[in-house]
This record gives sequence, structure tokens and C-alpha cells, in this order.
Amino acid sequence: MKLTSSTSTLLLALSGLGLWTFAGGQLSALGSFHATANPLGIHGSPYGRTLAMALQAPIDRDWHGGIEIHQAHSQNDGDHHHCDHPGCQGHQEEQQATDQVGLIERLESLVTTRTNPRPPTPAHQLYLRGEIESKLRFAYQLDPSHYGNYSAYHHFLIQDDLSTMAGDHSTRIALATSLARQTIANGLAEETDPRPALTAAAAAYNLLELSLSAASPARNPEDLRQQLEALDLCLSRHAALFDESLRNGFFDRLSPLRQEEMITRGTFLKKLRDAAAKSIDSQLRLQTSQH
Amino acid sequence: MSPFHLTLRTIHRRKSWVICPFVVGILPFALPLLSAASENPGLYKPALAQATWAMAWISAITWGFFSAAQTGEKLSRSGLGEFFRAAGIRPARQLSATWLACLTFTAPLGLLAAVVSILGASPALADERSTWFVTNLQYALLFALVIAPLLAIAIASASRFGAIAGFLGSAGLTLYGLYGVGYLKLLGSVEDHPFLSSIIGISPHYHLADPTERLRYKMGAIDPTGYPLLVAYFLGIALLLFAISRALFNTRTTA
Repeated sequence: MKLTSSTSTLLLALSGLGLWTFAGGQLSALGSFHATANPLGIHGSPYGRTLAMALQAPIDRDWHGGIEIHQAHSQNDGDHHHCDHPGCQGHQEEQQATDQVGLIERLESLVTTRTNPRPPTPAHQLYLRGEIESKLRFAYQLDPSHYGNYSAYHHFLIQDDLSTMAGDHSTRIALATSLARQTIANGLAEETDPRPALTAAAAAYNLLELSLSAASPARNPEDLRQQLEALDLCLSRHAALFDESLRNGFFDRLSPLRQEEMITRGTFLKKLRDAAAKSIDSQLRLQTSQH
Repeated sequence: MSPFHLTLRTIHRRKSWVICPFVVGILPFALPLLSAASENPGLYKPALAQATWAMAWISAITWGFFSAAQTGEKLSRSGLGEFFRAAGIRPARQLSATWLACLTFTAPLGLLAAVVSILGASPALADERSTWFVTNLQYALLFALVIAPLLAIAIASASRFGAIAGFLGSAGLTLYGLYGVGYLKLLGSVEDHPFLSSIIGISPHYHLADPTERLRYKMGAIDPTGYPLLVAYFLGIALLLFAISRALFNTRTTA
């Protein structure tokens, strides 16, 4: 039997549709369609790390262009360049660069200088905060082991006046806690680079700080001690990897800027650890004396 | 028929240009529904302004450069360029005539975006409204200044290397100037690198003509005393690109 052109087209379409539906149904039943969006496998990849660093600039712009302007206006000091927001990197350098007044810098300052005397409205500010939050989340997803990405996102989540969930304290704390736990797991999994262990240590310290600042019934001495042990574990992991990196040449391959950054962060976290240990001791003494 | 009228009619006849005024002038009124503006009506205006300007840039980069490249390729491959040459129209005049025809369709997209943004997304306060008006017009001019020489590059390189090369060359250069330079600059600030800084220095900084952030933060109009410098910067790049286009432009069937 000879098929006409339209019949064979129809047959082709129907068999395709049938196969597609059948296979799709099977795959769906097996759960194969469950996928988290990660285009080109960029999240957590080496490219993701560079991109995450690159994302800090748009975050800076959202901050300096919107939120900080408002704060400057409400403080009435007119100074837009104090950098106290989380994760602000290199803004001072940017300032120095504009002092050299190249043509591009002059043009850039022209298009980024605010001429509108009015501060953003509360709704506008909420919108800008939402933008910052989504970028911080994205930067964190790209490279969760990056110290700056994690710290900036954490700081953003726990501040009452920054997060878009302002007022909903318990949700924000729960979110920050799970973020810290995820970061610790991530940071300790790294086997050559000593830096992710530092990020894990920062997360462990943040957990400890959250517990210390919680209302006293929630404070359990045993929990505090465990959290301090977790922090110690991260720091010793960092110290071990750091020694290893000195031996195998990993440390020497880092640029002087990155080397200094790692050492400063390490020293800073050790100081924080000692301060936290002291505060836990004094609290425990207080509790035993009360009993 | 002159090359200008011929190109104008050809593009008009193809009818695909209708898509551009639609996506710049009408679609942005529906796009904010996809954003958080559906939950918070206060965000509708910034979302509308962002959408219309983004659409103007996307339309110019995709449709604008593609039809310019197509025109350039046709001119050399079909023998039309040689025909005009025989009729006494010099290559430089052919290039400027076809370029002007392509510009007639593309430059108004920036103006349309400005009009949509002014009519649909002006702030409620009177003083902010007047600076909003000026800001949009300032950026409509910058848009035309950026797009115009790139259309000439698309026509000229397509006439020599084919439509795909013409389109990708201009689109790539625009995207590099809009976004790539910013990332390069960031890498340059993370690690000091003299070679990188000189590359950044000679790159076209098209991101300076992108109004999205200025409008989003309601930062007000660009300082009028500094604005001519910005215009001069883009005019300088434009003249250089026009010179390159003239050197590249080819009217013969065999390059």
C-alpha cells in the first residue's frame, strides 16, 4: 500500500507524539525532570567564582545608588561614600581611581552622579533592597565557599532594616542558620584550597553569635560548647590546609592581594573565636553561680 | 531610484520592522506583569521604563543590525552596488545612503522608548517629572549616537564578508561595550594589570549610554554642563567607526 504524503506526515507526527508522551511520562514518574536551574553548570564552578566576584559591582551600585543615598539624606550629612554595607569591596579604590580623572572616569562619574535632590520613597527602597538581596543570593549560589559572598548575604539577612523580610525576625534567623550550616558543610568539603574552610569558620562563628544573642531560654550551654567546637574544627581544618598549601606551592600561586586577604581573615577569625570563648565562659560562670 | 529610497522601500516591504515598534511601544505595558509589579503596583513604573529601554536596545542590536547587514550583503552580492557605481553613485555615497535608510528605522526606537517612558512612567512629583523628561531625551540622543555608526559597520562589513559577519561584528561590539567592558574593568580592579587597563581604556564604553540604572534610581538628568563631553565621546567613536566602514565598504560582487 502506498501512503500519500499527508498520511505519512500525520503518521510521523502521531508516532512522534506517542513516543514523546510515553517517554516523558516514564521520565516524569522516575523524577528525572526534577532539576535545579544551573545553566552550563555555572553554580559552584571555577567560572562561577569569577562571576561571583564580578557581581559585587552591581551590588555596590544598588547600594550606593539607592539605599545609602537615602541614609545619607536622612542623616543629612551629604556624604555618599562611607562604605559600611556588607561585602563592599574596592569602593575606596574606585574613589582613588576617579581622583586620577581619566576621560572614562569623568564620563562615568557624569552618568552615575545623582542630580535628583529627593531621596527614594519607601516603596522604591524596598524594590532596591529586593534587587540587592537577589544578587547576593545569586552570588552566593555561584560560589558558596567565597568568604565575601557568604558574609555579605548573611549580614544582609540578619539586619532588620536591610532585608526585604523586615519585621519577620524568626524567618530571617532560620534562613541565616540554614545558610550557615550549608556553608560549613560546603567549606569543609574542600580538600586543597584553605580559603573555603575560613568561610566555614565565619559561618560557624555566625551560628555561635546568633545563639549568644538569642533570648536566654534558648541558650543551652551544651549547644554553645558544640558550636565553639565546630568553629575550632573549621579553624584547624584551615590551619592544616594552609600548611599544606605552603608545602605544595598552592599559596605561592595566589596573587599577593589574595594571600594577604587570607592571612588577615584567618587572624580576624581567631580573634573572634577567642572573644566568643571568653563570652561563653563568663555566661556559663554566671549561670552556675545563679544555680 | 536612489540607494536611499531603494533600501527604505526594501526594509519597509519586508514588514519585519513592525515587530520593533510593537516590542518597544506596546509590549512593555504587558511585561511588568511578569515582574514583582503584579504584587506591588508601586513597581509598575520603574518596570515599564526598564522594559521599554531594554526592548529598544534589544531591537536595535538584533533587528537593526541584522537588516543593515542584509542590506550591505545584497548591495555587493546582487551586483546592485556595481550598477549604482556605473550610474555614477560613488561607494561612499552608496554607503551613506543605505546607512541613512537603516537609521531611519532604528534611531526612532530610542525616541519611542523615551516617549513610552515619559508618558507611562513619569514620577508623580512635578520636579522629578521634569528631570525624568530631560533624562529620557538625553538617553534617546545617546542611543542614536551609539547605534548609528554600528549600523554603518554592519553594512560595510557585510558587503565585504557577508551578512553573518556584519551582524555578529556590530552586535558583538555593542554587547561588549554594554556589558563586557564592565566585567573587564572589574577584573582589572581585582588584580592590577597594565595590559588589561589599556584594553579597557580603548574599548567603547557603551554602558555610559544605558539609561536603566539612572531611571531605576530616579537619579535625575545628567549634569547639563558635563553632557556635551559625553556626546563628544560617542561622536568621536562614531567618526572613527564611519572611517572604518568607508574603508571596509565594497560594491563589487567579488571582494
